[in-house]
Amino acid sequence: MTASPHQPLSTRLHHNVVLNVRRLPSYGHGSRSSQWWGIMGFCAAEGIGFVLAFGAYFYLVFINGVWPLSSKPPDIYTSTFHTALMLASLWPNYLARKYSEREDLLKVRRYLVIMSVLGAALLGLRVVEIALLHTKWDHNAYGSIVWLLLGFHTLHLVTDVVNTIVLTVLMFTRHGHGRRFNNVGQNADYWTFVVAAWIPLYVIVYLFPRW
Amino acid sequence: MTQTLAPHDVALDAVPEPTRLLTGQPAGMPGVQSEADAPPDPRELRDDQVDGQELTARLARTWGTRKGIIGALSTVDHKIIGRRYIITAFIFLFLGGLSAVAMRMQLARPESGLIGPDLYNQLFTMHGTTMMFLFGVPIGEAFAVFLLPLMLGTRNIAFARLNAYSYYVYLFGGAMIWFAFMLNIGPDVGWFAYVPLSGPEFSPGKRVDFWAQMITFTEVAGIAVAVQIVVTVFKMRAPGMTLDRIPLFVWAELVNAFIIIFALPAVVTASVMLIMDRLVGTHFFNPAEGGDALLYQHLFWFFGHPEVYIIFIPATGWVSAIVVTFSRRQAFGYIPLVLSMIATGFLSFGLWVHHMFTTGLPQLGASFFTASSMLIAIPNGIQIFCWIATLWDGRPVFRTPLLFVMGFFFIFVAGGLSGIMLASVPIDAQVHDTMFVVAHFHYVLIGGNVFPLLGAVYYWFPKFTGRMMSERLGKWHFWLAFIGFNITFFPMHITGLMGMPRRVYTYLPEMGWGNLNLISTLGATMLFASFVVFLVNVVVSARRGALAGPNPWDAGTLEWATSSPPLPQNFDRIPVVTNREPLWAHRNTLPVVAGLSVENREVIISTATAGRADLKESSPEPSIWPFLAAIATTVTFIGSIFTPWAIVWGGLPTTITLLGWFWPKGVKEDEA
Amino acid sequence: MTGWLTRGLPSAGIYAGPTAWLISTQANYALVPWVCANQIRIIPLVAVMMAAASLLGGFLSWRGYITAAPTPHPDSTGAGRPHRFVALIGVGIALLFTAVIIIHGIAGMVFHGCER
Repeated sequence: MTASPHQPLSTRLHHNVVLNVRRLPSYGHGSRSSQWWGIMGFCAAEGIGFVLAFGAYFYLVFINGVWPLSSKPPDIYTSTFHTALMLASLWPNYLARKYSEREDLLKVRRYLVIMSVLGAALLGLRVVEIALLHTKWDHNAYGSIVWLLLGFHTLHLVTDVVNTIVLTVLMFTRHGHGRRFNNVGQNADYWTFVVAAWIPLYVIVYLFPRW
Repeated sequence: MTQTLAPHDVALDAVPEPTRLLTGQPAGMPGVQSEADAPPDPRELRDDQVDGQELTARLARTWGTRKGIIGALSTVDHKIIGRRYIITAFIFLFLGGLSAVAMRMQLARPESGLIGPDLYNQLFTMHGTTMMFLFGVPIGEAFAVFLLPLMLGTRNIAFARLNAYSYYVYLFGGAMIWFAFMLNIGPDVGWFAYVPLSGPEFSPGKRVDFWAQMITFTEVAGIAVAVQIVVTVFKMRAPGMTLDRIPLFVWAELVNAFIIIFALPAVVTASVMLIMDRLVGTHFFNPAEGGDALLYQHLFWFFGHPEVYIIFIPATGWVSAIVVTFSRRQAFGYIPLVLSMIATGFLSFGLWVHHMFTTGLPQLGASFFTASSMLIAIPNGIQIFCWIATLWDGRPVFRTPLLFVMGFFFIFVAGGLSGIMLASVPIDAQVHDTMFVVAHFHYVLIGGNVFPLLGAVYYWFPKFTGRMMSERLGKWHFWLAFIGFNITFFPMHITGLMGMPRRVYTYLPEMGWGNLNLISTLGATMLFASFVVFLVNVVVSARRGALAGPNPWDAGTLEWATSSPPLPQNFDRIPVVTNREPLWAHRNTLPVVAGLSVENREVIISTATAGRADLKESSPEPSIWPFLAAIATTVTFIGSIFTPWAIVWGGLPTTITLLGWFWPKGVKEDEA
Repeated sequence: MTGWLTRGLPSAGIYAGPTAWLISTQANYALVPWVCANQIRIIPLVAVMMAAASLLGGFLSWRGYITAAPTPHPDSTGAGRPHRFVALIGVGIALLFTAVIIIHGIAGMVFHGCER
């Protein structure tokens, strides 16, 4: 040990300034911002949650052989409409993201309002859909896993719809500028994840039992 | 290898031209005037305008934590939260250790009446639960919270308010289960809570519900901190810190964070299914209604095996840091070491079925998991050889931290050998659920985590507190712990082979296990004594230890460039990194960045691979809302044990607190 | 496509190796009842395909290493060239996971699939 633990406390390395970051932008869009990476991290964790729940679903199918046990398959019409509406929402969602990167406040407001309305409508449809599942969580293991899948996804739906509405309100206040555009883009990315998680869920819960 | 730096090497460590350190890209799309590109307010003081003591004082004010109880609960300083995290994890380590001592007392002689079966069941469940969920996962993250921003050359962890929230949720979850235990409603079904034993039929009452909800608490916190770690490592490195200049400890924490993100959702899924089976009558694990008990085991071990590596991988980081510093040379085989960490991280997800070899799975299916279990020895072996080579080629200095690393080599390799034995299905079937397995995993976990951890405490204590720990007490601590550990756990291999099962509260004298158990208990007493020495050392050194100065070990990584303990801003100016061991390459003058705000909390956001400065984002101000949100979350979770409607009515206060948290308040945040 | 093959992709091995191994583990595990029922040894075949996929990732990483720019010069610790670093890690990971996958295939040659 060459250095003794008794260096003077004030020992400070002399600074040699080699770089000035005065002119760096104060935020950036997409993967340049740190928050985008955070959203991706949570999407990864929740995505694994979905994958595991899907795995549990097929594990139960494999164990039982007959599926959906003694229940009737869930109603397909509402859910197909719901799925179509979800896919359709990707377009205004994309536009909200695009105009947030252009920092076009009027258009961002417009598409955020559309997304809020769509989100609320999707939530309403979800309630109808759950009522038409033709099974209850305490009926059998099939009912349990279907309710778990829908419940888990509905949690995501509620979270993002509430977030969208709050963000919409925010963009109509004096805070609606600068870094907030960044948040609009991230909210849109999260919505894409919510839709992406729904597609396999729709196939598994609604189409698979009818095969 | 600082001592052999030839003149041309020095040129290699020269600061690269600014184009390599800055991206220089505007934030606005082509043709769009973005607010982000607006020139900085000329009235705002920046660190290229002040210097010396004035800069230090002003930055400390900007980044500081207010006094008083509200200030303490509002803090977002990663060092304060990290310190709390470490202390809390250690308190849980001690509680878990005390429950183990109680069990050893009971097992010291046959037919002992010290502890009854019900309390014994609660004790081993609390011991395992505490060690795995309240100590094992959090301690690695706790060190990361304190050290990562310092080692990466930034001023706070990413999402600092989420960091505060995570800590409170973890604290409340851990406190909840220990209060439940004190009220005699502690879980009693093992740390894994297998169904059907933990199901509604065989475990009525609330004990298992507390366990399942504790999982939810700690895993929410664990995943959130893991995301913060990933973002901090990828986006907040000092300019010039390319991927291959990241300190090995940081690599370990990064891989660990990824494992946490991918493994913890499995145990949350399992515990949510369990609590729903118990509280709202679902049938996930009820074979009469189409459910299956093995589904629980699959989900649990999909988490449970990576958990072993969640405990071990941070330790590889501690070992790497200590070995490099005390060998006085850079790591031998940086690339193989990083490769091993990544490979271990991936492979850890393909081993889980080896905990289920005795459940009657097809042998061909099991063999795939045997294959991965055997071959994970390759990356782990590579790591051990790289560390030995580093020591071999260096000039090792045997201070207490390195002693603990030596202890780690010995104990962990011994545990790895019995692990190879257990990876083979026939041996596993023979000794499953015996004390042999207990011996094996304590060699792996204590050898692989606790010994490096104690070394890490001795190593970074000067940075945490500004004072050195006593070397003399440290040596006493090490030898007591090392000898005590082996006396405790080595005999368990033999008691296991003699047939003694795990989780029995007593045994008959004619089994012939009495003497070995007594030896184990004596060893446990010694291990206990070693921790008393440790505690004394920590408390006394924190008050009266020798003053450390910024870099007492003459180490090469950035956390040693700042004062001990660091000021709130960590660094007066952000360093520019030109070498894997920056402080060895620049012994007198540190190349730094200027131009950040002195009045507002600004941090540099860099690119993920090349580490070029890209943005100067703002970092959150202190706020009480994360604490309030944690309280609301806690009320919701605990309430849900008693009525599922708690999720609904607890959702409202939680949402309100989150709104308070995220709604922009002052001009300060809004501008940046 | 050929340009992509010659230029390589430094990080390919880091994704390809573990993904191939994941598929090999999961697919083979799920195939065991089928192998037992039909007595067709499909597992070595799956393993060979997955090993090839892993090796392809390793190859792309290697190309990425070969074609990486010779500048900047590394510092005195050999660091400062992150793309080469990622490429080397990719090659190593791909090789290691190829080994694991091949051992899966060998297990399929030893067992019939019905052993309990």
